[in-house]
Amino acid sequence: MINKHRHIICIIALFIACLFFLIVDVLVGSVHIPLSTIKAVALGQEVNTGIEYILFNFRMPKAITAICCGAGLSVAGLLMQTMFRNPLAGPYVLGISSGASLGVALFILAAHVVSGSIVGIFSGMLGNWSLVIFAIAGSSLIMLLVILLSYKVRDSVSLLIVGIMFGSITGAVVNVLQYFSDPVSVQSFVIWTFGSLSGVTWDKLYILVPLVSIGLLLAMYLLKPLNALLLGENQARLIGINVKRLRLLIIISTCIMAGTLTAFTGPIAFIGIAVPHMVRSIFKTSDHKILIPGVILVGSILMLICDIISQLPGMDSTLPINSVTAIFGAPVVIWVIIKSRNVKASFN
Amino acid sequence: MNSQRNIILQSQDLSIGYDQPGNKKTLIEHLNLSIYEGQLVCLLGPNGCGKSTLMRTMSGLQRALAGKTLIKGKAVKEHDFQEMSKLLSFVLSDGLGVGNLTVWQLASFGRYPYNNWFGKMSSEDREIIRRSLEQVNILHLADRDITQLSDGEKQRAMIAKALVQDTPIVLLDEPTAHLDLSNRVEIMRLLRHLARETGKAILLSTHELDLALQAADVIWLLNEHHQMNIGTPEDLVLTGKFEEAFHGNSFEFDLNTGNFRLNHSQHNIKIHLQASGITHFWTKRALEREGFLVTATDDSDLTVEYNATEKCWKISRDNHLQDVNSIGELIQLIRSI
Repeated sequence: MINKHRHIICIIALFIACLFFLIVDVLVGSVHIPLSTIKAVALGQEVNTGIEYILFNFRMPKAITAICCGAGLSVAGLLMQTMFRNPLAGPYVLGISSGASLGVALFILAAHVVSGSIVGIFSGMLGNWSLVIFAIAGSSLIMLLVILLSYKVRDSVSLLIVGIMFGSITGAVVNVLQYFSDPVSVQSFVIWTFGSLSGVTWDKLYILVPLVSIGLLLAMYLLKPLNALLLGENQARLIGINVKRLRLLIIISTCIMAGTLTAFTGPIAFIGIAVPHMVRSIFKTSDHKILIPGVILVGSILMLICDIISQLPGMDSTLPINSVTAIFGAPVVIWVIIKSRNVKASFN
Repeated sequence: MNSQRNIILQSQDLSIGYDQPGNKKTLIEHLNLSIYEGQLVCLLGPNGCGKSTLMRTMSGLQRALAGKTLIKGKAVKEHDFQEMSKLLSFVLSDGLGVGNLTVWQLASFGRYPYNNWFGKMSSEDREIIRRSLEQVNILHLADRDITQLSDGEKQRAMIAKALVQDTPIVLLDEPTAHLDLSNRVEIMRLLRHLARETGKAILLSTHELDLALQAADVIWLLNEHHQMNIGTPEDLVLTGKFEEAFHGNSFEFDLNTGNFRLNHSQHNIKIHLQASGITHFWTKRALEREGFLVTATDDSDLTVEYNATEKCWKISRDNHLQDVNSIGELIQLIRSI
């Protein structure tokens, strides 16, 4: 079992890398924080209150959000790829992100079109939570429709097509809303679609972290049936897996993770599709016992690195995280794919 | 072997086919079938007669149009998935569609019904996997990725997975397809052995008529009109059901040998063959392949006589005599006439 040892060593190495990038991510930013400060904070010593404030209220929530995003979206992508047996599937194939953007578009754009409408009243009551709540409402609506349809639709491929159709419909509705909105609202909506990790404060993390954890735990609970599903739905049934129930649980897990994350950070594409492929290349296995921890770690690392890059050291502004993940992540994935040549092996 | 034999798998008034919206197609109706413990049943029939559909319906993968299948007296529908997976294993003929998986990992899927949520393998589980891989002769490939296997090795790995599942009923959809002769025989022997020694009920579909005739306890024979005939291989041969199911213009079932014979285009040349033993058999075969009529009577166009001492074939025609030293030359000569 040489492979097993190799896998364990890889996991440990990835974990250490993850910790390293976590610390770097906390240190890097427009205000420089020296490493000694982290040590002092960890040891409970007094530090400059200004720096402590930045550390606790900006850097740490952002780093935790990055980890949640990386882990949650990557696992959601892995679940979708396994369920649909399709290498192009990702966390958003079921139309969850488009549901969220519909909610956000309604909030930002329609609020202006119909001023003083119910939307407006709501946003007044909810303050800075309103965007998140509309996003959750939008993704939950699509999620509910997908779950209902998953009972009706017998096979996964049809479900995949239905999800893509949902995405098209909501995308079109959002376009119509944009068309009739004023430029200022359109701009704030577009900024939301860029994705952002820094808008998540501690009180939002209290919701985000538990929900993403529930999704991750559900995925881990399913690792044996997920493995069985690799052989196809019929083979899985023959070795005692209730495929319908499994499919429902996979969808719920994905929707919780992708839905909440999109609501809080905006749609962050790319990570969910790319990370599972990278992990399969690194570990050369299809076994979810290895893939799930691997995907959580690699996803977190990638997201932390992207966040570090987006800080643009020496400048005051940050790049939109969505662009960073694609610009810097895609070449990495292409390199991994060319290097290993066994991505296709998992889906032949 | 257990002297008391129980029915383990049974169908009652089963109708199979496809029931898609706007396209209902019934393949076979009113099937009353039963398999006993320790029995090896071969399902034979031409392509498209419903063999796979029947097996898939009996295993619960596909819905029956009418009637039901019972396992140990309880309807398949009423067993939950976990129970079913401990009663019935099924080697499908579909491709696998997955890679990055070793043969060992593939076979270990067969233990899924038995182990915990994490899929932890006990030493007993590992022993069963090892033994099953050994039984199908692929233990040396245990660490090989399944995408690097030949079709035959893949097939054996899938059979190993079914053996690892250790169920009293084993269904196999064309398990000998893609295998070379020695592996085909080996697999049939293994299945026969398993049925006899461990009392498993085994149902397999195949196109290997000769092997099925030799190995099966019972044959379920489907003809192209979707009718089922059931019996021991010999009964089906003697009652002519075999010929009926596989009749065609270009070949015929030879009742003497249990093999199929190609019907070659006939010349109108009759050849009187005088030879004995295996020389007679193979010479006749060669002549028949060429489309000549071989007779034992005198009213022939020419006579071929084998001379054992000179080891040559003597061809006489209209008092014209010629010698050849091999069947190849013989055929060439006759062709030129």
